[in-house]
Amino acid sequence: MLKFITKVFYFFFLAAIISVVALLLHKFLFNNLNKKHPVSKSLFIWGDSQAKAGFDLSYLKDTLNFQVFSAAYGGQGVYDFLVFAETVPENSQVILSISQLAQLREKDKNRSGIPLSFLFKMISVGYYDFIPVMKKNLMPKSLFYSTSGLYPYKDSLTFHEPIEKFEIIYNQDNYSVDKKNKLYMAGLKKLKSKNCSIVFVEFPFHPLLSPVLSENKSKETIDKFWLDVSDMLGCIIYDTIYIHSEKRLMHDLTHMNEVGAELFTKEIFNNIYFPRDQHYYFKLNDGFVE
Amino acid sequence: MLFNSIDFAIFLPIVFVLYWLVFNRRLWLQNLLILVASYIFYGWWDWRFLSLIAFSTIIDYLVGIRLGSSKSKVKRKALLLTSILINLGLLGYFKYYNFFVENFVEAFRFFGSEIQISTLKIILPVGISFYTFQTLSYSIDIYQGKLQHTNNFVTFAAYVSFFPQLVAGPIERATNLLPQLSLHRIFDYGKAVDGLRQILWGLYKKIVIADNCARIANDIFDAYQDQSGSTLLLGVIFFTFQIYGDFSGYSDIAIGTSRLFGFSLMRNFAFPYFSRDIAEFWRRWHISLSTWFRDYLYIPLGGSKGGEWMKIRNTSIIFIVSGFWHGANWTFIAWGALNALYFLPLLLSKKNRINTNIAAEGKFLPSAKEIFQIGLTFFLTLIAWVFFRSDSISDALKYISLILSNSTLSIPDFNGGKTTLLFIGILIFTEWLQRSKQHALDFDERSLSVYLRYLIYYIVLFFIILFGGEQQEFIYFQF
Repeated sequence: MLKFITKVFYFFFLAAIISVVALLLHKFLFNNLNKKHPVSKSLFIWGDSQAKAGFDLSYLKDTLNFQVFSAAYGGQGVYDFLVFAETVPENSQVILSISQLAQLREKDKNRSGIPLSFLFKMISVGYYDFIPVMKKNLMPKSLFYSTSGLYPYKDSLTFHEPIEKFEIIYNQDNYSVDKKNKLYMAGLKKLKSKNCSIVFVEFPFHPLLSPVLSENKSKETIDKFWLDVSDMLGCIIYDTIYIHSEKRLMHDLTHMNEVGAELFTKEIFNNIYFPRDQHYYFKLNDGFVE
Repeated sequence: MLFNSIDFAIFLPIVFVLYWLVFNRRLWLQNLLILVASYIFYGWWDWRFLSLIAFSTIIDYLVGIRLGSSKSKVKRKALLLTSILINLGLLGYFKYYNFFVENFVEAFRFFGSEIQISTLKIILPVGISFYTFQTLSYSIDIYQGKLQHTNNFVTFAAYVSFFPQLVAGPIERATNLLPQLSLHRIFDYGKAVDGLRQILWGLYKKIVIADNCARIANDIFDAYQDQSGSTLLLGVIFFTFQIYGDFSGYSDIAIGTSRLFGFSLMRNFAFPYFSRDIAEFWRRWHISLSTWFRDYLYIPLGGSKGGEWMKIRNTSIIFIVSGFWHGANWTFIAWGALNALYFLPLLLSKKNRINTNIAAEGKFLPSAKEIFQIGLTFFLTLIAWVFFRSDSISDALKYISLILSNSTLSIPDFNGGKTTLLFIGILIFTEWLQRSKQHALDFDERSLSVYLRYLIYYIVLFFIILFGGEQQEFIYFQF
């Protein structure tokens, strides 16, 4: 019996040692984004699938000559945002899209490990999910990529998910949203402390979703979050831009297609060319695009 | 509590240490610990439904005692009927009520009249199909004289709620588990080590295979109309391995965990995707359910003793009922019926017991004939899984028709699944090598050096840690 317990203990002890060594080696060899890339003309994007589908990175690179590092992925979650905030160099130009769905969904698809500096913050707000933290800290994947992942243009709207699914998400009793929002605030504070220039972007939804978005159980929580963000960062400009096109701009209910992404990216970067020390808030046509 | 959760990783060592180091002096204390631990394990999900398990336990405990003491045939029949009605009543109410109401309303609508019957908004209690079948087997076995009833309530309650297999099987027979609970247990080092190995392999199948396959299969099935034929084929292949990894992984963890506590549960999966015909597949897939239906439904119906018509009827019944057991949807019934169609030609031509040994026995590689047989059986199960996974029969049929479209030969959209295919390759390779054993990490310690064994354990462990997919509930929890 004792032999069994001792063997099991040593087995996991050795596994822990191997993990720590692998982690240190990985951090030493690969985690040098700060050193590799100059800040000037670099742009860091964070968001979920809406941002992934909504930013035409090749336009930014080729036309505006930006060095773009996007960390926008489907289902992107709050851990990744904390890693993003930790990784982005000081004085960077940052575009953030903390979507309503990113706040409301119960389970995020985080890809990277959480920095230890945020671990205590996570515990303090009562947001426990240690398995992904432990697992992903062992071999964190690079958060950033530089190629676009746009949806091709189609004449008809794709229905990946029914409207009822959004009704459920927006009207459920969501016990983690407050905790998640606190962690988003922690990440934003980190970016602020790094003197980053932050632009918030809210991507449009298809009008079919407007009844759900205008009247739902989570509206108050979401609005309060943005008021808190605005207070904390001292946002000074709010704006809405309008995109006009004969073509369909949405791929499905929540994501733009390649036409929408190109127009959207052009509009954003032609309107704001990042004067430093200003914070903008963009919203498209009250959040809806036909 | 999920096996693949941090909660269970804390829970298991605590129960293990208490079981062997604190409560090991008295059998009843060990059984009481199992009972309490099992209720905590189940209550972690939703404590309200503990009352259902407790209710089912009390009913069958009392029925068992009365059956044991009664000699009257009529009375014994009435007691058995009580157990069957209550257990199946619970199952019917929570799992099938809405299905029957909706179909009833639909049938009336078809004939032109509208009726209003409201459906229930209730949660399906996790594992209800498993523990009701387990308690039923106890009453039926006593009725048939195969088992002596127990007077020890704690022992019986521990049998019904035994946490390793409570929510997703294997569906244990009272004739196997109850005697083990009644005997003093001694820690067996070899058994415990083998249990850990089986848990490790079960976690690989669940976390690396099933959870990674789930993401891709869900993406493809959720938007199947937009996908090419080749991508749809890939989607169902991923689902095929998802359900295998998920369910057999759970069974491996359950059996391995039981071994840590000195129990031997029945085998539930025996490398089913290496089967050479459908009959062999059903001897290797979800063995505890197949044998349950064989013993408690097929044989009482007359089995295959009657004429051809009797064989067809009984086989169709068990496959359809088995499909319906999985869920209250026509897709599961279609899945069962399709498997019956696969199976019947073998049964009628008396070829259902040709392949009773393992494939390529004593050889490393299968013969060309075996490769063809395994490939054909795999393809047939693949088609059946489309029904199992789809939301409706029309979706399933459309999915299959799209697979067979012109785009079947195009390059599929892997949806980031190339690495997952590698993991599946590792699974197939390892299980093929170990197909004569109980599980893939069932090593003969004399034939494999200690360094090589530990290297394999660490590789599997780090695959689980590094390449695990997003945590998903076990599919069979919903059954």
